[in-house]
Amino acid sequence: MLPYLRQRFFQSAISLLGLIVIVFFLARLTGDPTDLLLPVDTPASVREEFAQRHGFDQPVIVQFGYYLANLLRFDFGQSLHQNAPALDLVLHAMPTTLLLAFWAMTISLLIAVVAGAMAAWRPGGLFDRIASLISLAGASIPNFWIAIVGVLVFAVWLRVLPTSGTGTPWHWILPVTVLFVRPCGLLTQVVRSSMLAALSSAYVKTAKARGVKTRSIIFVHALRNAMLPVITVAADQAAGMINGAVIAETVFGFPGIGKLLIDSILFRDFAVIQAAVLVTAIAIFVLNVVVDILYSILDPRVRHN
Amino acid sequence: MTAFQLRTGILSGAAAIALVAMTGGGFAADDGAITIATPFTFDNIDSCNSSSEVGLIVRENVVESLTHLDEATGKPTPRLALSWEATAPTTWRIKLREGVTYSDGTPFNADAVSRSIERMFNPKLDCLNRGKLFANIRLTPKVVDPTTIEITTEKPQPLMPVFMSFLSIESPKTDFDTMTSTPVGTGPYVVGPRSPSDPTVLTRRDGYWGGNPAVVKATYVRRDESALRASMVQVGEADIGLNIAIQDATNPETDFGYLNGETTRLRFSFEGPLKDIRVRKAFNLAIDREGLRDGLFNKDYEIATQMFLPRVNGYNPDMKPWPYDPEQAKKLLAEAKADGVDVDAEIPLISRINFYANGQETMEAMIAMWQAVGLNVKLQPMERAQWLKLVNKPYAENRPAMLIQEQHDNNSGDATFTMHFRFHSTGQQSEFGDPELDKLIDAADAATGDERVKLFQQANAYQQEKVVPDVMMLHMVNYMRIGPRLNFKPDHVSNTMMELSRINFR
Repeated sequence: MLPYLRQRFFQSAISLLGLIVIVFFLARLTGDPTDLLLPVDTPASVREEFAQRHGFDQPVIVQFGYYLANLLRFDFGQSLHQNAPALDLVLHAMPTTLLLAFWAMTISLLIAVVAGAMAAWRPGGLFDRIASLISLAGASIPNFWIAIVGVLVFAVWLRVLPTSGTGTPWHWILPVTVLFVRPCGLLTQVVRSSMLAALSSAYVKTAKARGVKTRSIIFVHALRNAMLPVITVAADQAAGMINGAVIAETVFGFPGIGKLLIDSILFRDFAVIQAAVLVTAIAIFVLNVVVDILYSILDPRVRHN
Repeated sequence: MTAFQLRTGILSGAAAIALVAMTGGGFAADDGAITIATPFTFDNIDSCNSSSEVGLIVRENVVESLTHLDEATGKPTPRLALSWEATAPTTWRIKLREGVTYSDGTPFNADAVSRSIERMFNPKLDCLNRGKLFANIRLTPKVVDPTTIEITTEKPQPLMPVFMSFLSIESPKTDFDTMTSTPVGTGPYVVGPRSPSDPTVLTRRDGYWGGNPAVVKATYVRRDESALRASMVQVGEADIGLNIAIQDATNPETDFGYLNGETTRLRFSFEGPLKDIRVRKAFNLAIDREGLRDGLFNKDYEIATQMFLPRVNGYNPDMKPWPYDPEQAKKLLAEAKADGVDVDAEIPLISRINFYANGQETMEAMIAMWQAVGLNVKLQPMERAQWLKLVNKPYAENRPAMLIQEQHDNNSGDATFTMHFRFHSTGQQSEFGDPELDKLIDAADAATGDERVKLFQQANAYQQEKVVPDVMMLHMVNYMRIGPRLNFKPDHVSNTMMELSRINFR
């Protein structure tokens, strides 16, 4: 396992280096932050002075050299918009998004595993048809629509949940719902099809013949073998949750990494863009390693190879 | 469905009902405390910045300035300065209010004013005030005695009392070389401890020289969606929702429209066919402004004849909107074409994405009106950074004929902040040079009192009649949703400054 992890680490380090280069240069192609941070009617002399003070007057390759040199000292630079160290802002925002993603993925997986497995037990039955319809709808409905309708129904009409913000567990219900519906729909379908294959295998027939309880057949025997593709899709969905987090955090005023990233892009706050992308990429790398470890636990063939 | 499936379903439903029942319905604010839902970030609220965010939270609430512009007349009135006089063409002597202390206990005096001015000019700081208002004016303070200060400039500055309304005097304990996110001033409120994830909170302090305002605590929360801000007020989570979009301002009892000081126009680049004044006039005559306003906005919006509102010195009340006369437009274009002007050339209209509500629809409607008289205009929406490259001098050498969507606010009370910048040949966003107009603007800049107003009015009329530099559009409106607990009505300054002391409870 250790040599494998070492290999993954070096592969990811090369990917991260490539990402740093791409993000740095692409960000600078989108426009000069001098124009965005200063008022429209700022005189040219003041613009020049500002650009000089922050090094934007230097050739991009020189700016990149400074950036890399600082990065080696773990200095991610200063946010010009928020006037604070970029890494501090990212690390401050990260836990909120991770917590949102954690709850959304946990609920998604729980519902998907139970509903998908039960639907697969009697394919074509009433529960299967209902589960398939709801999961298909869940996987198709856009996040922002769920967010807006959720606020309208539960906060404005029924007045049982807060519209937005943080502070109490109730504030988390709508944002988590916005985030979990789509992966939940998708995962339910994956669990169902994966379970269908597992339930038609010889060992399940043997278990049935031996009189093993239905619940044990589904959740002990078949599910473990059906989980490999589910974990793959779940990991993919978890990594993609940053996209959903942008919607949830923007609509509900959640101070997470998605919102921070969007704001920093709008203000061309390069230091924050770079720090946010890098930290997110590292988080995804860690997630991938966790998935690999889970794979090896669930499937001995992976471990031996 | 098996018994197991049924049991699971019933349990899930019960859990959902219990969850809803436990939440109750109350999210109301405490007495004396209000919540304001805004679309702004409050990341950079050092008082030496003149942004909307600083205006909304800091100006006069936390850090006071030397003078205050009267909401109705735009004239400077005393705030931390009690009186002022020009003792020489380049020197103003200012008498300061006595017995004032900062919220950190430091006494307010002439030394504090001097330090505040020097801090604003500190090149290590990105003070927006320095770049925006004082880029070409160096203020040199001199302390005469603890309650008297003299401010000297290189050239005469008749507008010094107006400039003084932008001089926020923060505590002398404020770091001189770094921007602060917790400004300290002499105002009635203090900024609470801040972190990037928390709302910004202002709390009323004891010992304010001007008495106690009714609002004890104000919490500013950021919500990007207009519909959400409106909903927050509707359900009682917030007391004020700022910048409510026109389509969300549906309740006449809680939603108040007010002229926000912004004026919209399309600026001509004086290139290609747009060098010809007949073509520029035709562009104006082809637009049905009333139709645009009533169709895409509403009657709260006013058709603009000039770039600022009547409260600004230099507003010319005699100027009339362009008539809607497509026949005359066609005639002018035919004349220009006969003289060899390429009136059929495609002219791009550079719009800025999400500039203001219904901006894109307005541009498309105008293009249809121009097509009806034979003009060939093509919409080119741009993101802010791209758009900015076309707006400011130095312009590119091969600048094409084009129209540029613009919005301008002048809340300073004086026309110079608009006229010089946009219509003088040296102005950073001017597209032309007219010696006669330059002379009028220069003379107005140097004049004071009624003479200044008269000269700016003349310059204003001249640029619209003799130059025709743009297609004037509308004086814009903002909507604010105000909860039933509050006795407050927004006005045209609410967009740039919202004094909590003006808010009362019913």
